[in-house]
Amino acid sequence: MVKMNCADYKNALIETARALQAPPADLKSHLDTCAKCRADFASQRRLTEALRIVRADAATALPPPAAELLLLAEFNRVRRKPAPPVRYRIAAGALAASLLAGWAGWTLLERSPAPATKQSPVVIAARANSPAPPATTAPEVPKTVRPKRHKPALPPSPAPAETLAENDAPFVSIPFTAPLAPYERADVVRVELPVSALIAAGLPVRVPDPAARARADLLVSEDGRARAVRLISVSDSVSYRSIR
Amino acid sequence: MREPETIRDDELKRFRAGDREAFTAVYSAHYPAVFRFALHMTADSQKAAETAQDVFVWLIHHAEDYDPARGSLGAFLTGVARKFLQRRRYKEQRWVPFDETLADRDRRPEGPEPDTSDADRLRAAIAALPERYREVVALCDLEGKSYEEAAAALECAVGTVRSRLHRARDLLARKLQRKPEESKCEVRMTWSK
Repeated sequence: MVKMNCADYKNALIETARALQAPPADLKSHLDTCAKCRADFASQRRLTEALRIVRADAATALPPPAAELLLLAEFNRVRRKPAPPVRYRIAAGALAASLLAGWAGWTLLERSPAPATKQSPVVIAARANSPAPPATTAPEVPKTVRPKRHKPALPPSPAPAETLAENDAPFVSIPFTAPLAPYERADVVRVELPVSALIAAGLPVRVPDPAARARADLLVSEDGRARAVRLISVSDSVSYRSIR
Repeated sequence: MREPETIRDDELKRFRAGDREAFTAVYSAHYPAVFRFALHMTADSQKAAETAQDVFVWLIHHAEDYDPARGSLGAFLTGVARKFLQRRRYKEQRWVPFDETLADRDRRPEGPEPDTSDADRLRAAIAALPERYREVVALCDLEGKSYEEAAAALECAVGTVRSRLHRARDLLARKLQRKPEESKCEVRMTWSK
């Protein structure tokens, strides 16, 4: 049989004294033989009784009466507009960021053709009802399709606001620009510009109102220059002067 | 006052949704326990009221931070109160209270201190305990929480709570056994190790 010392009974002594219970048989037999543990047990019981008095006194201690009113006022102030959960806030932030990124990208795409139109004159050389012009479809623009400035090969332009075929019209190379190489990449950018700009560039465009607006696709090479153009539509509903 | 066990899940949900009555129910059920815990830790009813106020203002602003799966709301609020008390004690360490200055010490009455009861001496002894021992005495012996509940509030193991409580009771029992005038320096010498 293993002989137990005082340390082995320490936990049981304290737990029994905490509960103010009678010691179990093994602890009682040890307390009968050990004066030190018997004194410890008595002091622990005395401590438990004193702690119960302190506990009873603390139970009667009341919080200040204004505490609840202050907290309710704070609760009303905060809960007037309940904050959404964190996951909703994260989702809303992500949505806002994606919208902002999309808007920024759209703005960049819208602004990118502007310098190209300033750098290079745009030539209108395609119409849906006209015979096949001396031009090829994108991205290849042969050298031989460069139009001559003083000998327009196009018949008179149709009535204003006539819409041309979007996908069937071929691209026409822009004068005084180097044609695209076969291996060179190009982007198609849709722009809207006044017909007078095309005429000023020496292009054979015939419309009753030079202030009419034209929508066209530009073939922009990797260096950012417009190399070819195809006309999409011409409209006289917007006055050139009114835009200015 | 309601018992903390009577707080239902739907009341917690309604409190989070901004229901004033649900908040009143949570407040009525848990404020006294938080106040008493702060009172045991600070031995000052004004500080205890301020700490309990801070805890519930924090709860109003961070109601979503409580996860019922991790424990009871009472243990959660006790843990929050413990953090506020630690922060308060850290701030107070930088200041010297007036009653400990020399001028104030000179005004104390001469002669032996009056004999006090076990409860009065015990309050002073608890207030002088190291914080880690005072916490377990306040939760287990004065608030009647189980070892598991105290461990959840203190974020430590159950065995740690038990060993700290036994050590704290040893210190308090030795303090109670001695006379008031001799226990002061003795206990200070023991706990300053």
